[in-house]
Amino acid sequence: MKGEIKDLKGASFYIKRGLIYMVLILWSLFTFLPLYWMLVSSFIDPNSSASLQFTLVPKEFTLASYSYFFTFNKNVLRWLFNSLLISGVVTLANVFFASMAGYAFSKLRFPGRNAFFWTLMSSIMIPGQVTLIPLYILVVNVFNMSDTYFAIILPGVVSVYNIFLMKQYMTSIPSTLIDAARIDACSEFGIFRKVIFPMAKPGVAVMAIFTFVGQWNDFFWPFLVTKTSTMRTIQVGLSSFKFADSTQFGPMMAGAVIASIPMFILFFALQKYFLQGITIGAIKG
Amino acid sequence: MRARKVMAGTLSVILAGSLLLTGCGSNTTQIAKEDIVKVWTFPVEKNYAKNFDAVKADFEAKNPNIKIQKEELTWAEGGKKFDTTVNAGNPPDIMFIAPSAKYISTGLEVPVENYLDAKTLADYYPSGLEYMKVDGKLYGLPLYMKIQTMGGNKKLLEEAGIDWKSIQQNGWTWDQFKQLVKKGTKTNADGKQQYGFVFNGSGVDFSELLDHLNMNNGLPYALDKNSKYTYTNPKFLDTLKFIRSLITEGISPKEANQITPQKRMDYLYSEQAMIIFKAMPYYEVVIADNNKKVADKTAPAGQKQIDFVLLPEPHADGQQAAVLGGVDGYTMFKQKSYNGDQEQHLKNIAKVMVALTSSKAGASAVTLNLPQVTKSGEDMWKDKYTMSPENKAEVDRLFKTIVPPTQVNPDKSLKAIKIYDEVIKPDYQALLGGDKTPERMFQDVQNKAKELFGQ
Amino acid sequence: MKKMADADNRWARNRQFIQDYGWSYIFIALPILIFLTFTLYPLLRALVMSFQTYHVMGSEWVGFKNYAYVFHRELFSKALINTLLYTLGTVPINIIISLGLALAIFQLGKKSQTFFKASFYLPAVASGVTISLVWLFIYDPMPEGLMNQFIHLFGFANVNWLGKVDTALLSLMFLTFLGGHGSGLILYLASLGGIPKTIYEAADIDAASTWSKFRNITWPLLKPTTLYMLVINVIGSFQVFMSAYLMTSGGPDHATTTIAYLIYQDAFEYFEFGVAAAESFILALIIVAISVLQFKYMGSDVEY
Repeated sequence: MKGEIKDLKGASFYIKRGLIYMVLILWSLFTFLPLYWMLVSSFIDPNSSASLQFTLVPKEFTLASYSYFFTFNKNVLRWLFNSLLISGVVTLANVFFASMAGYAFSKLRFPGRNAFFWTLMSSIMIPGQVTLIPLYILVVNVFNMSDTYFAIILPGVVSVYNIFLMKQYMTSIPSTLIDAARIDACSEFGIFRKVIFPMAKPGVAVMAIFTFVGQWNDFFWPFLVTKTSTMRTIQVGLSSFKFADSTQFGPMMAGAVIASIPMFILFFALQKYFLQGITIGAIKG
Repeated sequence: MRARKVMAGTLSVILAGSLLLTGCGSNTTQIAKEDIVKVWTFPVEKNYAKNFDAVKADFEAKNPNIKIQKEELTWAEGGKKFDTTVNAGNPPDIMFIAPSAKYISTGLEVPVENYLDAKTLADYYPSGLEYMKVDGKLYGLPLYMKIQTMGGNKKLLEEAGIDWKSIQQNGWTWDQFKQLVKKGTKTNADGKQQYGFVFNGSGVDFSELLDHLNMNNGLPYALDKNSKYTYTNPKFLDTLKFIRSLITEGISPKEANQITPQKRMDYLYSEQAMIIFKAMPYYEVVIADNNKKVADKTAPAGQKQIDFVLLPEPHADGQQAAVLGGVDGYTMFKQKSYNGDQEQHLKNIAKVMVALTSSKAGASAVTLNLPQVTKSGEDMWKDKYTMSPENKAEVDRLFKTIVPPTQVNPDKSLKAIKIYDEVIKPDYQALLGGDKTPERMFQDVQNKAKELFGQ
Repeated sequence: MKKMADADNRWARNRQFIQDYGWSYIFIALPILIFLTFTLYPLLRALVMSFQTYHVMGSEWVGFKNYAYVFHRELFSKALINTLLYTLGTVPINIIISLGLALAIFQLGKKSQTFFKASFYLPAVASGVTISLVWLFIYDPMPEGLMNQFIHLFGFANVNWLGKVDTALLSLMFLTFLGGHGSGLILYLASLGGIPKTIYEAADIDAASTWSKFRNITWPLLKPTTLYMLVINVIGSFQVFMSAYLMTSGGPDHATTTIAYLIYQDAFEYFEFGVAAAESFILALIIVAISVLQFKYMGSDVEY
């Protein structure tokens, strides 16, 4: 694809490219540090205190921390399942609802549009610390949902951040396409499904990852509204490794490694969409 | 196309699963003849979960109409969960926490004396109960007594020519402390910087050294017996000056406000600290565990086996040596709206609380090397302690110098807490870092005290 | 007769209204419903709280007392200044860094793109606690701290990064420059991918320079994404809490006390929910004002 212009590239092109690579590699090595450290520490003996030390070169290698992690509580697999279920449902719900709302706010004209949008937006400008107790009273005392999946899922079913993200992403989809579809007598939902959603796929993929990761890593709310061990999420379960002054670092890190695998898988499954450049012609045809 | 089918399939399975599971999970309402008592606790010591379950099984066998429902919280976030539920009117019945003006002000913390009979109460040593009182009212029961002091590395102390045995027995003044401990600041055998005295100035209780030294300077608590604020006394300034001088004279590291409790232990283990603060009797166990790791070579490089001795804290010239004592234990709460016989429920809660703190529950105090809080516990566990004779003798000596807590007005206590959190803590960090002089800090405290107490 | 016609008319108008806008409302119905229940209701409760001294057993009305207290509170202005400094010092720089990284990565081959996307984004999935632990090692004030070892190479004495008033906030700002661009990077890459290649091809025919292509094509078409980044990052930075909570406890001498941290302390350390709520609504007003400005200057809907 790039073959035909290759002859035009001079030495300066390769120097530039080389520099870009160098900066990116050095930088990404640095950002990788926390992840690397997590991995190295997970291979340390659960009883060793060495993991608290920061070392670049691993001093020991044993899978003992992993087996410790899987055996210390009989519900470990259940926690993983809970997290998968909750994050999965929340992500799918957001993909569906936030992209619909994003479409309405970006491409449709209707009375009250701005009022609705700004009401939604201003709600994310209030720090969560002050709405925490009213929300808890509502979910636990009023709706009596304590210790259920609903208590964790419902407040996150559609996030204003995602609506805003989708609105911004869909803004640059040409309105002419929508008009054309309207002339072809597509219903609004048909337009959304056949025209908008496919074109917004890169944005939706990004949103799906953000939502999944955000929900997966959420700690305090699931911790607050669950009480039995079987209802806990993996992040809440992981925190129970902390004991008084000392922390069982090895198993905690082993758990963190296991807990990040689903996010890795989702990332690699969806990342191809981010690259997908969409040409208008392709959609029209 | 296939991918889409797989996605759709997964989705429907997940949704179906969620409906099914919530179906069973949400079944929380029970028409119960038996009374459920909710207890929130922490991993108090390494065997605590086991000890708790043993006590619970024992209790439920004897009281078939009462069920204990335990939830184990984490140290990091458990407090915030509890605070949220208290302010939502929905706290557990029993919480592992000290009574405080903060919770009493919510109206949900319940005085327990009416729900206990005199004979049960007489089993507890009064000195321990005193810490579970606010303004003279008893809100809970202690699980163990505790003391916090200093400790040292026997080898390094002897190298510096310090007669630690005599100090254990006779105590020391601030001046003597500085003179002796200064010798501990030098380059150690590994070529690393060694400090005479390393204390935690970062982490959860980063200002505890200040409290302990105030106590050894005639200012045991922020509020005295008459609920009068005491930190405006010039003696408070002397304490600040003493702490600052430890840093300027090189006895303690100048990065003191970034030394976490963990780092303080690391310095002890690598022979970079001769004396550490804070130390507790339980550290003998912790350090013995680490010594084992050093022997097995699973400890980080550079760590040594440490012979640990407990030491008294130095006191200001002309003041009494004093030790900060305390207890950890359970306190009793009620909910904003309870469906059922509230009085009977509270009686049952009190019963559970007694079981969780007396006799059999004393196993925790043994693990922690701390004294029992009940006579029944004392009888049951007195032969089970394993402590070095010198440290045991020191613990017994230190317990005699404990300053009992003062019973003060909760409103004033809240104000004192506010001064502490808003002025003393941030200023103290700056004092340790050299960004604020002792005089400036003292001035700030006086200003805030004038604002809140008008004195 | 006339009445009938009127009713018919109204009916027709209503039908027309539903036909014109019905779908719009259906599209936003569920978000609005969830929002009303789980966001607006707690929010209104918090608004009520801001006029009360909150007590779980019965709150007292105090009118504007909490607001008056906040306005005169020195600590609040100090926290506001810290937060403003933090926002000004981090948001623009981080958006530029994210965009720069995205542009650099976008011109590489597919495999390299995947590699760099993964290595910049995936570390973000490690929890904030792990990342802050790493940074505590980096900022360790002792000579063995990574940052101190680094500046030793240039002959500087070691610095107590988080423990001194003049370096603490800067250190918290600096740590955002080196990490945490993953989300922005991915977002920009997705948006770059959405720009039709034909537009660039047309510009190539006109022999446009790289800068002019960026200036006239890329930048305007990325505007919606940049606006999103700006608004979200400003909100995030005005509510920044974790780094102060995990690394400095707001100290020393309140040098790193941000508004969100202050609100947390008021709510959960002193149980002064009224004051915390008042502070939150003042904070929200400030953020709304800034966001409206951002929408005004960046929000022109661009299409190609």
